[in-house]
Amino acid sequence: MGNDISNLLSKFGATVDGYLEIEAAIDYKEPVRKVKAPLVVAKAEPALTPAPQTETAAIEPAPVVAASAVVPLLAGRSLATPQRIEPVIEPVAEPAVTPASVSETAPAPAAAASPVPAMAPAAAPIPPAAPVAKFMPSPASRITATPAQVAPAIAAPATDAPVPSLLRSMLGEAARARQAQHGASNDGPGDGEDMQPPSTPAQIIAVVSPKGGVGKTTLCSALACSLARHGRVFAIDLDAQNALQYHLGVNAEAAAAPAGVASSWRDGLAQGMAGTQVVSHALVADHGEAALAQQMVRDGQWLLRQLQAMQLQAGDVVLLDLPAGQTPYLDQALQAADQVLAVVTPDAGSFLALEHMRQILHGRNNCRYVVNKYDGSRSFNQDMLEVLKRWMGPRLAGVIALDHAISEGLAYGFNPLVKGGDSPAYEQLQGVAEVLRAALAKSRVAGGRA
Amino acid sequence: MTTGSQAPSQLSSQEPTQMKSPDMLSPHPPGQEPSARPSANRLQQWMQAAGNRLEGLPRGPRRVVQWAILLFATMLALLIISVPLDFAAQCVFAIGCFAAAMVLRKQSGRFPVLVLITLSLTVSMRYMYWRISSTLAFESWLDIVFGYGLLAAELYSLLVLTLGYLQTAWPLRRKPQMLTMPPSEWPTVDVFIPSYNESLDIVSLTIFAAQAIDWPQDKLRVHVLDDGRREEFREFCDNIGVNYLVRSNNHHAKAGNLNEALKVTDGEFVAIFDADHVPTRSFLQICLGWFYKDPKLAMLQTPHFFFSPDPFEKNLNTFRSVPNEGELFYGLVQDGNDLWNAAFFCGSCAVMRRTALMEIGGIAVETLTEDAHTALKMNRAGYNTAYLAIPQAAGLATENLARHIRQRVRWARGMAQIFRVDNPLKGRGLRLGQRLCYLNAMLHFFYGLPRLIFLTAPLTYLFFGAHIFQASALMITAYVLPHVLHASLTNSRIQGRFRHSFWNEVYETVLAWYILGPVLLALVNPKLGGFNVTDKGGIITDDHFDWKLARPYIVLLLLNVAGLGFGIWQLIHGDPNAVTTILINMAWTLYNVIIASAAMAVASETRQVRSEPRVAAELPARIKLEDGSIIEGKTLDFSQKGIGLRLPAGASIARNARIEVTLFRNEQEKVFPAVVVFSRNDMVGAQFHELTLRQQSELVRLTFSRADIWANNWGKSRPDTPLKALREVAGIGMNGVRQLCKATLLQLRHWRSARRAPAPAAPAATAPALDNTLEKQ
Repeated sequence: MGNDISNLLSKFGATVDGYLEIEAAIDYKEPVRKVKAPLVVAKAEPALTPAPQTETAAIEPAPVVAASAVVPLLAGRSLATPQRIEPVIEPVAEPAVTPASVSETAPAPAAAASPVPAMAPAAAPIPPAAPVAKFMPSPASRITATPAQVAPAIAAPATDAPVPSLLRSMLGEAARARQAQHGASNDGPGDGEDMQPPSTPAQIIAVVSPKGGVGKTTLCSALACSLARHGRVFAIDLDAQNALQYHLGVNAEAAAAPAGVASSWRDGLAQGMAGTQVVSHALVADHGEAALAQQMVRDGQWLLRQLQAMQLQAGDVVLLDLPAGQTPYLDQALQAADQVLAVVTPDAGSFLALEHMRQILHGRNNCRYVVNKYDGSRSFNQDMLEVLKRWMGPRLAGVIALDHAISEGLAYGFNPLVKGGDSPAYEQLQGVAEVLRAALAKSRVAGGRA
Repeated sequence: MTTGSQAPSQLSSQEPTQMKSPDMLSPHPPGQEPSARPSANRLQQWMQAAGNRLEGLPRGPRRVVQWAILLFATMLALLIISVPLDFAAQCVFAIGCFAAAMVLRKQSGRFPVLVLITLSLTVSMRYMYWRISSTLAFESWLDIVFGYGLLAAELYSLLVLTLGYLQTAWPLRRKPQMLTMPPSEWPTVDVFIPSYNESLDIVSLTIFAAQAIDWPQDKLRVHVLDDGRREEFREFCDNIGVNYLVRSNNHHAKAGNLNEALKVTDGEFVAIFDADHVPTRSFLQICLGWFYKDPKLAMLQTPHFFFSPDPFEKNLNTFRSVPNEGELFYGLVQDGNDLWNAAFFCGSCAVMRRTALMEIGGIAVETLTEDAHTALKMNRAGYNTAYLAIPQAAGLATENLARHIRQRVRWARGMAQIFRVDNPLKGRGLRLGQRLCYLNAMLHFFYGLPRLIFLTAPLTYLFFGAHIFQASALMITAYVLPHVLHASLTNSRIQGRFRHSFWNEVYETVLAWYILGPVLLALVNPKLGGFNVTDKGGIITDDHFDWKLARPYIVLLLLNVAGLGFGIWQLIHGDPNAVTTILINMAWTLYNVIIASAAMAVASETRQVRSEPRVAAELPARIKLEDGSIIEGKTLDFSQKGIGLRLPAGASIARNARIEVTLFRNEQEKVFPAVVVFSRNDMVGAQFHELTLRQQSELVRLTFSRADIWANNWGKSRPDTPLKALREVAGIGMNGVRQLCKATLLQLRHWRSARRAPAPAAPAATAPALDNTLEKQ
């Protein structure tokens, strides 16, 4: 919630609840030179952009109305999110270009086959406290009145080029699968086994990214240093690149020492900067990648077991640095994690990959996002950030500015994200760390994992 | 009662049916007032306990007790007012009341205010009773004429004082209500921005800000109503996607413009902004909640906040230290009106329910103040009106004194017209409280003649020896002094935050001569119109003294100074018995000199530095230089075209450097290219460089649209202390005299040089009108 709003309302004795921030995206026709591209990621799909939308303009107000009617009487904050996901609606009189999402969803009203799942994205970013499944019945009952109109409007900016309707049906399956998965996960882990599932009192943060090269390991190391001020932090490198130890400045000899003997993670801890303790990937995959992969297939709780074996205490924080994309590590890490932090960059590749991993990440109510390497001076970055914000809703934990000094620093063993003063990204990262700490505190109080 | 939350909070639940206009002064004023001092002292505790006891009684006995108290109080008041006392007894009485007032004025809370008002009214009524019964034994025709004239002025003054107390004793202090339903059920709102001859620079700001209001985009329709039918406006509106409405004529100016627009739109609510009133993004969400809480609410008004100084503040250099002239009205009077359900529409920064508006036939067109008249009609039709004292829009104040006077004259004429055409005391549909509040709003503008009388009354004695006050000097002192002092103290306590003492007299003096004629004319024949004080308008390019405008004040000043001279002469050479009388009259004359010279100081126009006023605000900003380095700074002020920045110590940027300024709001950040035009140590002034429409819109969203940007500066003036205020006004007066002398010398020198060599150009007292001017309606 904007602090200018809270500033105002607190001055005059009202509460911030019930105020909705609504950011309208308007197309401007610049009088001279450059024409502003529409706000949505239409750049990937030039063919779809210019269709005049006067005939669809009439439909648009209705879907918007129906869509928000779906999320009936939630607390004020959550209502902001459906608003953000909805596409731009132009005033009816204007012939200006409408965002691509509306234009391309309009020709495919037939995808009404899955009205309920199409509502799912809107329903999903409801405040994490409420389990997602609870809201599913009411959207379904409300939507049946206007199925055809809801579906085109609500789908998040659909940029999968080939077939929008195919995407929608995929989304439908994904939502159904998620429902089933949620129902299953509600039963708790290890229901088929007799023995007690492995657990650890420490809190686990999994740092993931759908796409590589976004700066996940850099951020993971910086977060580890930031969180280390408040307690013990263990950073575990599950990425075969084995780069985390270098980011955390682990002593060269300790890094190079081969863990030939199967030593436990606890014994193989190396000291990183700012008081962190590091488990390098060499230690994790001490028998080689192939053997590790087989072990993970055999034992679905392998990661949890390793963490339990570390004999951590309550108040410790474990940061898992995962490789990009969907890997076996990811499934186990997501199962183990209290909090998930997904790192993306504001570009199309990240977005597409994010979409691809939607059901795994967005369906969870403990997953937050960080947009890294944001360059405010480029309008494409700005537009992309807007798209991502809408997609992520309140799950966006922070935006970190592009600062070349950060990546350059690795060469010199210096991380500007760890020490304040020089880089604006430092403050932003501290903000993200605070969000995570607050979330950890809340889940510690609430007890149990998501 | 002061700190009490025990009073049935009838008003805080805002039931529209009851307690909107309490027609008796209940000892249990409704509503809550958090005490300024956390620990209530003994007096307040006792009062609270008494109130609690009374509250404990059931309804019937309670009414009986209340009526009994009222009856008793009335009898007591009548007794006190009319009992004749000799000088000594009157002095004792006066001192007693004054002592009580001095104690009470320091107590916080609402109840002491009521007691102070009671004391003040008692003392003033007593004075008036004595005045009418004992001081009107005039002999000569001179005495009769001047004497009754002064009496009339005093009666007017007392009436306005009483009505003013009624209006402002209990400001409602309404809190904003949020909308409780989901956005899909929010109503459609038409935002009207009527414009006639304002330049696009100014109106574009309002349009961008209106677009940026936090409201579902399909339900927010922004319409620009252009009575100037300008092509550049049409193009601009087309480019940024707002509606552009024109009509074929200009009948009834703004009111007609709005009515025509109402015909072609259909939003459930109508929000109206003058062309230069920039709304914040929270405007609609804060204002519309009340319409759902109270189904009979037809109009909600918010303050007109000015981010540029008005001619008083500019020429007297009192911006943000002495409260602005409008702050009394928007900070207190309208809030007080709200209690009585008599808050009226002020032409801008308000939201109205379309059904109610159409029911009364649209915006009223019969008078010049169509806004107040519209609200009066709504009240007559049974609707409620409301006021929310939260500044959510701000605009430019009048730029020079001439424009200011013209605007006030128009308001005065309009109010006089309503007084004649649709008198609030007559006709159906209004409750007593509403009638009195509207009456006061109109009576207020009739101060022209009384003010002039007050400014010249003592001269009748000093020049002509007329005895317009048939009483001994001592008795006059014993009666008049309490009356004046109590009124001053009580008003200072009620209004201190919104108007400093003695400034009332200055504002009235500045306008008195100019509104006298038009108001009399409008009272006599409301249909006559069209007289306007001519003004040249335009940006003031140099310091100069507006001789033409200042003539009345100079005359008044000279007359009073002459009076002082006469007085001194009489003290030396005149009747020794009359010394006290002379001294009293001279004291009054001295007071008039102070006020008149302060009024004259306003006419000394100071140079306007910038054509576009800036808003002072401290927001975080990041500056990126051409070489890529980044400086984190803060803004000092901003406008649509430029921005002032303060850099951290030690940093500096050269002039003509191109920079990129990043502004933030919450998590958003946007970058704007700019060029440095001013740089001194750590202060930098930059002009934005060729912003695209989208960038202009974003700039407005990050600056003018911030919800708290005006609220931060609201009510920030120093609290009032009467003595200090008098000193300040006297200082301003002396400065004014100095300016007058300087200007006189300058003018003499010009005349002399013009006589020697007939120079073609006379010193331009007023600059030619430039494009960037604003005609305030």
